[in-house]
Amino acid sequence: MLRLEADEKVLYVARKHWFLFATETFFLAVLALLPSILFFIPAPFFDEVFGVVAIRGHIISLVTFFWSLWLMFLWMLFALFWTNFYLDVWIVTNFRVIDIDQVGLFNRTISAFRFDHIQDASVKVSGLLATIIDFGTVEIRTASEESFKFKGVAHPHQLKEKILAEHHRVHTVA
Amino acid sequence: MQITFPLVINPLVFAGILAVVILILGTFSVVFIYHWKEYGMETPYIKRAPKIYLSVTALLCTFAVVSYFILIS
Repeated sequence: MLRLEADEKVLYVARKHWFLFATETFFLAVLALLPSILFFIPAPFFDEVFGVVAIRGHIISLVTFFWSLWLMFLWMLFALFWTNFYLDVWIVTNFRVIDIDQVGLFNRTISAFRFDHIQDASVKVSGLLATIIDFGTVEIRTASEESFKFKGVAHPHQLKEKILAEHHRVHTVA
Repeated sequence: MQITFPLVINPLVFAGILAVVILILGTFSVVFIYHWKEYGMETPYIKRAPKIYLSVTALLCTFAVVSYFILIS
């Protein structure tokens, strides 16, 4: 569980663009429907192939059974993709930026940097689609030569502006 | 040699496969729900996610069990 410091408030939560998650979901949907092709293959073909093992007449129930197992596997993958999408975030608070890197289920890295450590911030949006639907990479370099990158983040310019605005506020107050 | 049907479709083998898949799905369900509760920061989506996930999981398990019984009948 993420613990915030006293008086720390969450100002902005950045996630990857939904389009990237939708692409993965579309891929899974195609895989889910793929076995249905078997239902359109003419019966004589199956008789030819499976005739020797005498499972004629059971093809549809066999395909349905294995299809149901396949759907369960894809459903697990979908939950995994969603978990990676939803829990992989940058949280901008009034004190710092918290970078939560979720890679798979058992690989989670949490790092943070304070606004007064920021040296440089850059945004890279490459490609027509990324420009139109607004996603890209935000990179923050800190005084300790560390680099924090968030690839595929939604509204990268907005995230950078939020971080720089807080960086400016911290410096102005100091 | 003509392989007879009972050798190919053995209900016990298919029941074993089904049980293993359901066991894996069950284990992953626990892991997913733990992750969402632990790291989800109680956002509205995270609050709704376990209910939706478990409903679809139950639906898929039912589909698999029904298709198993159709297969062995």
